[in-house]
Amino acid sequence: MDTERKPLSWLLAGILLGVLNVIAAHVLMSHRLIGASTAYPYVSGLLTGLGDAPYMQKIAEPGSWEMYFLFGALVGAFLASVISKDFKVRLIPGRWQEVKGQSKPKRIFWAFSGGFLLLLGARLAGGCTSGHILSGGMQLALSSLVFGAVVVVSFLITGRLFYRR
Amino acid sequence: MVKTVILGIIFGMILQRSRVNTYNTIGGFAMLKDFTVAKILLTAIGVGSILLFLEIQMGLASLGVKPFNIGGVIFGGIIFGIGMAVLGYCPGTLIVSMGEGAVDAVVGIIGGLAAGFVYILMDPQIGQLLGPDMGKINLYTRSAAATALIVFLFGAFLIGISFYINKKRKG
Repeated sequence: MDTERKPLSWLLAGILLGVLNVIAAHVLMSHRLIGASTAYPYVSGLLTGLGDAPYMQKIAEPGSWEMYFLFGALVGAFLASVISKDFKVRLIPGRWQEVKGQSKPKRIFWAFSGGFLLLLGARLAGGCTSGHILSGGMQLALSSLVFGAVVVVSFLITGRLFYRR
Repeated sequence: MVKTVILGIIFGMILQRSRVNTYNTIGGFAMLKDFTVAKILLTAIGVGSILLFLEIQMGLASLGVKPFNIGGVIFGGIIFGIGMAVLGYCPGTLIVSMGEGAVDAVVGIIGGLAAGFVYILMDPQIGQLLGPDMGKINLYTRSAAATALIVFLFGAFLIGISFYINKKRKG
């Protein structure tokens, strides 16, 4: 009987992610570094017919690149999770249940609110974990290093308050 | 476009196979029970910073530094950190987690799309709030040798922290 495949080690995953971003940056590839958060307003704008809004024109290029990139990520994650037998449709993650219980409306409320704050924050700051922390960090960009530091502090303080038993 | 999708597929596979995309890993970091997120990101930035510098030196890539809008970066970072802690995903890992069947990630994506809609309407009005813009600054200097030293030390330092966290957590 097949068992679940062992996950990649943090070291190998970190190296592969750094190398992948350097490949993306190559002039013969995308000639840009990885990002994810611009795809959200971009897709939202396309779905709601705001395509002509000034902000949509500003983000047209990164927005469409990230949309195709994340489409690939969705496919890649689906394939990898099916092959490794990790694929499972579920609403409430194990660690959430341990601290917050089994209530579905509660998880849905916090997931929606969290997703809203996450993307609002990313757009105000001009990037997310991918575009700012990973890609910006790799370029030693001041904005990204400050963003990374602020996020870690805010994330850990919120975690401490929100998951207190 | 095909290249972009292929890069995305590899990205999705790396994240999914390392399990760093899951709520249990990211939410576990917020609970200080799992440090995989920190170790993978620090290693990736460390390795990537050195390779990217060499790639740029060879003329095969260019910098794309984001502007340092002090207000936007700090205020946005605070909101982003709060959202990431209660959601347990970030914008990229939301999509990866949706790919492996996480329904709460789909809910988070809908919240993110709603924020995207609000932001499209907000953007023209909030220019003042985001500033002052300090420009596209990074720690590269005019001297390639000095920059090489800075980048190498920066990269080695971050990789070192990853190993340190790893050792601490096991010991």
